[in-house]
Amino acid sequence: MTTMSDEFGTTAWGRDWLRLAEPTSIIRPDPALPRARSLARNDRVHDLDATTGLIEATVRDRSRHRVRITVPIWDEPLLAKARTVLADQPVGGDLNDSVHTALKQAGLTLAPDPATRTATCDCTSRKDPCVHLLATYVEFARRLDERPRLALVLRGLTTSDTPGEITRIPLGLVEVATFYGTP
Amino acid sequence: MSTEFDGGGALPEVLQACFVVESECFAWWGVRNPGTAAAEAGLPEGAETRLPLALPERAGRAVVATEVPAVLVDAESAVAALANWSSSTTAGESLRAWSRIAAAMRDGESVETLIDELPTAGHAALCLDGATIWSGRAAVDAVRHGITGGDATDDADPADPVEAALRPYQRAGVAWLRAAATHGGGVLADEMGLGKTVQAIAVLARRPGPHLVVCPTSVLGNWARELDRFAPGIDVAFRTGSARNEGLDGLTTESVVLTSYGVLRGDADVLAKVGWDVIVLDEAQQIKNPDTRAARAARKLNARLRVAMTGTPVENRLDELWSLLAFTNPGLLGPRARFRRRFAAAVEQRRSEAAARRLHEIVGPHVLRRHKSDVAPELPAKIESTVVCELTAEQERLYRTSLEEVLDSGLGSGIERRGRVLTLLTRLKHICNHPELAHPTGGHLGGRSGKLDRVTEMLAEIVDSGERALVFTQYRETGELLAAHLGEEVTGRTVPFLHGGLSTTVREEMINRFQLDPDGPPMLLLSLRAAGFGLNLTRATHVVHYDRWWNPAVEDQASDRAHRIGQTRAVTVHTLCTERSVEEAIADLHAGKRDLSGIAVGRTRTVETDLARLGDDQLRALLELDR
Repeated sequence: MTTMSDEFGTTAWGRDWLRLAEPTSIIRPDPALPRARSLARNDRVHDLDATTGLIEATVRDRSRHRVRITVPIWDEPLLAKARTVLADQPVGGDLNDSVHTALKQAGLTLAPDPATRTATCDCTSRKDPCVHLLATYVEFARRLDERPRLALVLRGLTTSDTPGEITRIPLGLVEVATFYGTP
Repeated sequence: MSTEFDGGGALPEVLQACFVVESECFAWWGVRNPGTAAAEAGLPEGAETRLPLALPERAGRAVVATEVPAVLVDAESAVAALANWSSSTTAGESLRAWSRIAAAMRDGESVETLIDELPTAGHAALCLDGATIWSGRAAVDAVRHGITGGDATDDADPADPVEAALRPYQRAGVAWLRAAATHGGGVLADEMGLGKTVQAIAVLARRPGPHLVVCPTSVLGNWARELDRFAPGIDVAFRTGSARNEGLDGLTTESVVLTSYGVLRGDADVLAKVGWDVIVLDEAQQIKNPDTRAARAARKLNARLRVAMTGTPVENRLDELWSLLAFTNPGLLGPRARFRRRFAAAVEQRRSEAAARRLHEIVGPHVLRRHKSDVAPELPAKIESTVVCELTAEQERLYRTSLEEVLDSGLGSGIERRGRVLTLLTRLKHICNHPELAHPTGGHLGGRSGKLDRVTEMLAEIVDSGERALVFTQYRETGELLAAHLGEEVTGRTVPFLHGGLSTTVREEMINRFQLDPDGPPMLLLSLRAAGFGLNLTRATHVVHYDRWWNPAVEDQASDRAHRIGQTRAVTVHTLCTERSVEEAIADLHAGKRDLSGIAVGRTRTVETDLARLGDDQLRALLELDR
């Protein structure tokens, strides 16, 4: 039986990360999980920033904790494969679960692999993963549900998911680094 | 070093240049006193303003909407100055890039490669929707528009009536729609009164065709008229009523086919077989429920560019948003069930701002909604709009028989004639308002009067947008009919009707509730005679004249209840007019298009008696439908 709900991990992209917090293979769910979900649900995971190979966030529990997660990025042949799969997608569009399946079939790893992932939190808890890491997994799962392209950004596909041809760019997608010209 | 400003963005402290697409002017910005800095740099000075801009915040993590000090210079003088400007190293890259682009434009060279050199700061002015900025390419194209008055990239004729009629923000909308063809289409959701139809016509007029326009029956006539006015060269074919069974084979490539949602539902398969160039769904809230036959039929249609037009705010109505975008940009939001799981719960139930923001990042480029208040500096304080409505079959039948009966039985002469002419005019105007007023049947009111159906749609849109309206009529019976129908169909509560039969206390209470009560009604019906002057009803931003009065000054006086001192927003005045009928004759008299000897429009009390002096033939020519 799974504890997955409708709230987090509603897409294949989000489920990849929710499984880190709620592995389907274990019999008893982590007792810290309800608290982690509640932190995510109440917007206590702040400033979550996902860039190439790196996720950073601040979790406001009783005090603030910095969380840092790294994943391996795809090499150039893998990136080229991914671009081929994505070529037929609508501009600026949503990525269906079928795209997720197609990428997996092309040999691309989307789910975070415990062996190559590093995850640290500056709290003193001896429990691994601590509740802050769990909350960050859950929150990142939600972010992926809302914007699946983040999964590709994380693997190094592009630093921005702004499609080139659009006439109007939402503020949330305007790049800061190049705003005044090449930095 | 940087200075923080309203909204959290920080000024770069270096002079920048940015093109403001929707007002077609350049802005110098980046420092506290951009006017002085521009003068020192040898650039033309202009009007000082505070410009809403996308600006990186101090911490440099995100871009936020911020108002910055700026000076505005019209495109032509700015480009001339920029082209001859000797680059200064202390100036921002955006200014230097625009200078290179301007020089290339002056020399007739390609600007293609230069577009990529333009940093965001050069096109960071907020779009009037408040949530997006125009791309560098869009800004450069708009500069070309702004300085040539036409599109330098193709062979548009600036004397083209539709091009000439466009305001700068509308040109920006048209450019956006044209570019949208590369990824399906878009939802043009400008507020009522900003001219969505003319923007759509500008798109149709310059594309190869064939085009399909689907709209409610109540606006078919309006579409035909606007097409004729702005794109007289285009063949227009109706696919409605009796013409419905004609094949679609005869379409030339220039044709625009006008049809209704009813026909779309019924003839979905026939329409889906045609490879359309552009499809426009007007009043696209008609397909807001994605399960309806009309919505499913719309999704089956094939076109290179799909445009949905609606004046209702769609961004926070997720089913409606999904349905519209499933038509304009299939695949963008994914399957509906998944979309609901991901966004509906978060946005509608948990009111998550984060989810709403990320939803906007997906749909923002594909939905353009601008408000009159934001376009305001460009708009006159009062916008006049004539809404031409069709007659239903019931109206047309009653109108013809009423006119024939009276003319056949003879009008007599003298005082008797005057009385009969007045009775006839009143009856014909009643039929235009609603057949129930002339020939009561007790039947349902919807679908029987072109004007009633149209006004119901318009008021629903106004109320949905959180605005308020005054509706004037000269007849007590019409007011009561409107109150009953609009209460049932639009507001779900009693619609107040202010008329001469009410006591002063009741009238005052009605006015105060409309003008001051936070929970006051969104619309107020008024009798033209009882409320035509003296009242202050500035809470309304829309005025609807449901029927025509002989004297335009009386209508203007009534409109000024909303458009007067104390009104801070633009007021739109919608005058309804039933095509081919006595109402159009009145409109023609007002506009000076029709001259009747001895009839002086403007003298309130004499027009109807003057009409009694016309001969039978003249009267018939004025009133009969087949003109």
